[in-house]
Formats: sequence, structure tokens, C-alpha cells
Amino acid sequence: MMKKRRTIERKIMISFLIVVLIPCLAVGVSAYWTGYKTYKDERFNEAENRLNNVVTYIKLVEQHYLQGELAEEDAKSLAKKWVLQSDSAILIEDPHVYEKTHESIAPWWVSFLDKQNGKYKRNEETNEMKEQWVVIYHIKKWDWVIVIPFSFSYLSQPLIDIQKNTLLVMILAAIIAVELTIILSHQLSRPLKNLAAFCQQLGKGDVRVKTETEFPLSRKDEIGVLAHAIQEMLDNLEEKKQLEKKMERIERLASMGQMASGIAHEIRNPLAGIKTTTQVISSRLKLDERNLALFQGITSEIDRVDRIITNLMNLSRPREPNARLISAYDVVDQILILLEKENKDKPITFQNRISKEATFYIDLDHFKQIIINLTLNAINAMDVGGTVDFSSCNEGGIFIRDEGRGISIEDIKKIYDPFYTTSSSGSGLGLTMVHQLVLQNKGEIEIHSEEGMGTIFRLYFPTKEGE
Amino acid sequence: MYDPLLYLGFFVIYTILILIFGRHGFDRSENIKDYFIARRSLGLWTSISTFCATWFSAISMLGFTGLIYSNGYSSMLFTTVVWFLGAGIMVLAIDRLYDYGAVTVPEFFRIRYESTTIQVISGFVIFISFIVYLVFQIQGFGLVIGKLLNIPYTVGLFLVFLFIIYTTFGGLYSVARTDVLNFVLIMIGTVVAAVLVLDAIGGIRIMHAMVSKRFFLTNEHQQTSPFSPLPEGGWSIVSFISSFFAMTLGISANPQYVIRIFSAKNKKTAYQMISISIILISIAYVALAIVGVGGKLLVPVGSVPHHDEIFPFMMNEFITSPLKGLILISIVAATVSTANSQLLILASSVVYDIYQSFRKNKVSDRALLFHTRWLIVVIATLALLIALTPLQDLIRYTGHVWGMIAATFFFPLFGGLYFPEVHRRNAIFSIIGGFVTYIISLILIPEDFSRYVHPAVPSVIISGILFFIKVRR
Repeated sequence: MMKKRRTIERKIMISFLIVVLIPCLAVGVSAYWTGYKTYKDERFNEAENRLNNVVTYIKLVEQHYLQGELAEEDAKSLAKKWVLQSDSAILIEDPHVYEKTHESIAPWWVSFLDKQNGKYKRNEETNEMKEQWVVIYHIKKWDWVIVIPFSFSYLSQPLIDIQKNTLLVMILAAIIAVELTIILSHQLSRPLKNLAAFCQQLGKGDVRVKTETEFPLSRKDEIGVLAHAIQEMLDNLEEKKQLEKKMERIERLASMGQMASGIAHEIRNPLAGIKTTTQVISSRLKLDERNLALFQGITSEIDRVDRIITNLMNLSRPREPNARLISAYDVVDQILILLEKENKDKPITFQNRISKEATFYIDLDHFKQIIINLTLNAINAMDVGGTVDFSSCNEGGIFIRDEGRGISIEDIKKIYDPFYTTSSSGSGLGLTMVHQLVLQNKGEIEIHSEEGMGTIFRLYFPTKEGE
Repeated sequence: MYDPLLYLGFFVIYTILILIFGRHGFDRSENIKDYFIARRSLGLWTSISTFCATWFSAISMLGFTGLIYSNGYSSMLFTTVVWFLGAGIMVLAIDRLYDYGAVTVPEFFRIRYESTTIQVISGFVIFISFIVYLVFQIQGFGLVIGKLLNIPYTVGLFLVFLFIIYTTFGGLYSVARTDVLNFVLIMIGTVVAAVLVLDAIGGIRIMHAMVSKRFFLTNEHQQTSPFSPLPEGGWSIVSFISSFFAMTLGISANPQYVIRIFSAKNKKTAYQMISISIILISIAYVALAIVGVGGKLLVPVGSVPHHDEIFPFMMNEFITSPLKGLILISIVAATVSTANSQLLILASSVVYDIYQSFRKNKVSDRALLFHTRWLIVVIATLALLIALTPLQDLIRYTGHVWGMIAATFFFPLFGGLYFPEVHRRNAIFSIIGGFVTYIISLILIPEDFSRYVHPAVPSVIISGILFFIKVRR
């Protein structure tokens, strides 16, 4: 499994998150800020109204006093009572005493007592988290000062109560945006990640069966195009690999053929001498039946060795093919008639289901040799008999299918090697020869076999000259 | 700090953690089996976390505290004891059940009884029961979060909707990973709640001394002992038997816990999961019981219209520590962890047990996963729409869901494991018979009487008879 760095996914996700979260936050913060400003204005208006309320009343009382309707003490008493009743207003009767109060115990607004009436003053030591303000009014006649201090912050409870829905909408929008971003970035990057993981496995030589998730060939977007391109590249690589394998086999056969030819040449002459001598001795001696059989055995073994040598010679010096158009059905039919007559040991059935239209551009003798060798191979593989089936395949070749013991995966790799055989009676040259003849005639041979299930050979040859 | 702001702060932190933890399973599910049982790969602590977190829901946390508030510690005999008995019975199934390699309970039925019909029928039973169950969970969350954050009920519903959709998107991998977080929060939240309540009262000795002097059954206006297992005028042994049929048998066959056996990496993990979970869950229940009993002393009688609301009421009125934010989050965590498991079970019943059984052509893993994810959105939306009408006294309704599971699944599940001779026809009759009897009992048994004879009692008996009847012949 590819190491999960999720680089692309992260890039997509972070970009999307920035894109979606910034507007969410911006809208939320601006809505909250607007709410805060409105709340702040309301607090100022509220303080101003309270001050106006108090001042208006005091002025009214003062007017009554000036008109002589009230004694000064009564007027002041009424005014004080009114200020005390009003919420948050402070009455300072002697501002000079306040101004002399020690800094540590004096209220923060003392320094503003001599300032202009009705002006809002802020405690400079406070920050935006909790702002403190004051509004002041001087009653000159009595040397009184009315002070209304007030404070507010970003996190004031009333403000949060008002803005709670805004916050909730912002949080909800952010959750939806983030969830969709995560899901979308995952969905978008996943095919690419799968493809990358698949390519990484390919690089390590792990070419196993691909699932649609790993290798999305059905997609119609760029990822599908990429998958198709990789598929094409893989096919080309496979073709090249097959070609290299074929070349390697040809070279190996050629060098082995040369070696075999040398050995055969050296063996054949003494072998001929041995055979002649054996025949002469046999005719001179008066042999009983048992000894005569032994001598005949020697002669037939010499003949077998000679046949092997002939095959080896053919292998090393193959005859150039004389290709012409032949009917696969007819040739196979003729061979099967011969083989049926000769094969009486086991209950073997031959089926020729090759299309009568199937033609190959091939050397006739070579084709016959190929079919004979493969059929004999099939007969040998079926210990208790069975059917050897010849049929056409869709791609233009022919199948030769038997019901024999099959070949193991390990053995399949070696079946075309000279002298490789699993049979005690075989020479190990039959399939080597088949392979060589197929290559000589510009054909291809494939094998599919399962132990206990039988073997299928598939042969392809050109169907016209120059193909 | 102003409470809603504190809660909102904790809520935002929880949201961020869920988004991170929930992402875990997105890449891991290659096929539908991975999606529903996490490729049978969950280790011990993940299994324990997901088992425990699924066990606790907001409804059970609030309902349990309310019951303790009403009846004292005696309620534990009728709740935790019967629930734990259910977990104990579940242990008996692990060895045989695990070997079937099923993904869902209905699939186990199909393999065991060699019948696709039984898989489809049980899939439908799960769908009907769990959609109701899910709606209750969402409603519970909406009510609690609405009260604590002082937000509209509908907004609360929408919040849980977003959480469960997201955490279920990655399948059991995501659900299990978020359950680790949820379980830790549930444990911390319940223990913190108990500590804060004890701190407000002055300690556990003082609390017990005070409560033993004046403990009233609120409905009866009758003084009783909060420590008596069967208090006079309270619960009776008949109620215990009734609870056993509904809760014990219901829990033991509940697919939401059985699926945790399937997803454990081996049998040993499954055994350890249940054993250790019971110990950890006990700690949380003791903490919640302390909150309930403490509520009796702190909250004046008649302060809350429904006893289920005692826990949030205490948080708002009597606990001043900022740590109460953790308690809120533990309730949220309990809801999310249970609701997403239920949603996953619902999706598995529809896609895996019903849809796949009807389809003749095999659907690719990719397509099936795609369909499942969309289906989860559809089911969650459906549950959200139903939940828009709030219900009170939720724990009573959830009792019916468990009762329904007991009536339909207990015998086919456990009987199927231990009685190999029982034929599929008996299993089908048992499920259908239990289901029908439950519906009839629910209609016929009066509400006051159902405390003594729960509808699960006749339906489980009928289900059992139908299951065994042919064998006896």
C-alpha cells in the first residue's frame, strides 16, 4: 500500500477550506461587529437619555428655586432624591474634594470631572474587551457634577444573546462547509491516489489483477484518459517483453542447435559402425530366440538414437519454410485419420471442429509436423484416454485441447527447452521442434494448462503473405 | 463565563475533533464488508471504545439519571443489572457466532438457516426498529442541546444530523475512531459531573446521610429508602422479570452490539471487549447515579416537568464550574456515537440484507459503497424529518425498540447457535410471530400495566414457542 501522504488531497482540502472558511468567518465577524456597534450606540444613547433625564429634572427644580417657589435646600433635596432614584447616575456635590482624592482610591473618571458637558470620555486604560466610558454634566449654579459611567465589551451577555443566532448560523455554515470540503477533496483525489498507488506497485513489479477502484478505466474524465494511457503503455511493455522472450528462445535454440549438431556429427559415424557391426555379428552367430531378441533390441535402440540425432540435425539446420496458403481443417483432418489408425492402445477420440474457412500462410510440412507433435504430446498426456479437440479461436488461430494430466506452472516455463521431458519414453525434442517451426513460420504459440485439468495449445499463423 | 458561550466554545472544539477523527475511515473501505465491519480488524481498545460509546446514548444518560432521581439506587437493579445481564448473555454467543463470518445479523440468519427470505425479513425488522430508535436519538439530542445552548430545537436536530452523516461516511472505521473520542468524553463528562455534584453537596457521606433521611418517591409523596433494591411503593420483582424480557434479551440480540463482535479482530478480543466494557460502563453508571441522587438534594421537587431533564437542569442551575462544558460535550458524544452506529446498521439492513438479496446481478463494490453512502444521507434526512415533532419521556419508547428486538431476534439468534436441528421455517415463524405479538401487546396492554407486563413478555414467549414447536413434535 502506498504510503498515505495525501499530498494532493491536502492541497485541495486546504485551498477549499480557506475559500469556504474565510467568507464564513468574514460574514460572521462582520455581522457580530455590526451587532456590537449597534449595541455600543445603544449604550451611548441610553447613557445620554439618562443624563438628559436627570439634568432636565434638576434644571426644572432649579428653575422653581430661582422663581422662589422652592427653598434652595428643598430644591437640592428633591434633585438629589431624583438622581439617587435614577439608575447608574452619580451626583458629586463637591468636585474639588474628589479631585484631591488619592489616585489609588479615586474612581477612574475623576480626571474628566472638569471637562465639557455632555462629552463621552473613555477610560484609556481599558481595551476593546471591556470598554469603560463616562458622560459628565456640570450644574454650575450649585457646583454639582452628574456622572454616568457605563461599560460594555465584545462578550457582554446581552450582546451574545442578540448575536447567538448569528454565531450559530456561522458555526453551522462552517461545519457544513468543512464537511463538504473534506468529503469532496477525498472524492476528487481518491482516483488519483489509487492510480498512483497502482503505478507504485507496478514499479515494484507487482502486476496483479486490477480492480476498477484501483484502475478506473470506465471513467470518462482525465483520470480515465490517464488510466487508458497507462493500460496502453502496459500492453506495449507486455508485447515488448514477449518479443524479448521470443528472441531469447531463438538465440538459445540456435546455440543449443549448434552444439547438438556438433555432438550429433561426432556420434552418428561411430553409431553407424556399431549398427553395422551388430548386424554382422548377429548374422554370423547362431543365436537362439532369446539372444536374437537382445540383438534386435540393440539395433532398435541404435535406430532410436539415430532418430534423435536426425531431429537434432534438423533443429540445428532448419529447412527454410516454403510458405503457401493451406486449409487448417483439411491438413488436421488428414493427420487425424493417420493417427487414429496408429493409435489403438488407449480409447482416444479426435474432434476436428476447426472452421473449414480457416486458412494459414505456412509451410505445409512444417504445419503437419507441428500438428503431429502436439497431437502425440496430447495422446501421451492422457493416461486413460480421452478427447483431443481441435477448434478455431475467435482471433484467427486454432486450439488443441486435451484432457490429460496437465502441466505444472514450474514445468510450463521449461517445456520448449530441448531434452526437457516428463515422460520416460520421450526425447524432449518434440515441443522444442514445434516451437522452432512456429517461430520460423512467423506464428505464435501459447499454452494454458492446469494440473489434472488438461492442456490447451493455441496456435496463430499469418493468414496471408507478408502478414 | 456566560453559560451558552462556554458551551458553544466546547462545542466548537468537539466539532473540530470530530472532523479530524471522522476522516480516518474515508480511505479504508474498499468494499461493503470493510465499510460495515471494518474488515474484522478492530483491536481491543477500539472495540471497547466503540462498544461502550454505542452503549451510552443521550437518552440513556438522561433517562438513567432521571430514574435514579425518582427512585434512588433501586433503579439500578431494573436498568444496569438487566442491561449487564444482556451483555453477559451476549458472551455466550461469541464463540459460535464469530465463526459464521457474517457481516450483519440477518446475514448470519441466512447462512445459519440457508434462507434469503429470513435475511430479508430480519432486514425489514431492523429497518423498522432502528429508524424509530434513530429518531429518538436525534430528538433526545435536539431537546438537550436546545436547552443547554438555548437554541431552537430544529437547529439542534440539524447539528446532530451533520455529525452523524459525516462520521458514518467513512463506515465503521470512522465510527469506531470517533467512538474512541466519544467514549473518552463520556467517561470524563460523567465522572466530572459526579465530582461537581459531590462538591456542591459536600461529599458522598454527607449526600448519603442526607438522602437517607428524606427520600421521597416523587409520584407517591411517600418516604422510602433510596438504597432498598425493591422499595415499598416502587419497583417489584414482577417488574424485574418484565425488564429482563425486554431489556436483557433485547440487548443480547441487539445488532448494534452484535456487530461489534463481528468487527473484533478475533474471538479473544470480542470476549475481552465485553468484559472490560462492563467494568468501564459500571464506573460511568455509578457517576451518573451520584448525579441522580445528588439531584434529589439539590433540586427542589417539581422544578422539572420531566425527570429526564434533571441532569441538564442541574448543570444550568447548580453547577458553576466551567468544567460543565465537558458534561455537555459528553452528552453530545453519547448521542453522536449511538446515532451513527444505528445509521450504519440501518444502511446495512437496506443495502446488504434487502437490496442485495433482491438484485439478480452482482453489483460492484464501488457502486455498492456509493449507493450505501447516498442511502445514509437519505435515511438520516428521513429520521430528521420525523424527528421534527418532539416526543417526551423518550426512554420509555426506546424500551419498546429493545423489546421488539428481543421478541424477533433472540430465539433465532441464540437458538440458531445452540440448536442445530431447528429448521428455517421455525426461525421465520419465530421472527414474524414475535413481531406481530409485540404490536398486538403494545396496543392491548394498558400503559400503567406495562410496567408489570411489558409487551416483550408475551411476544418473546410466543417467539420461543414458534421457534421450538416443530422440534418438539
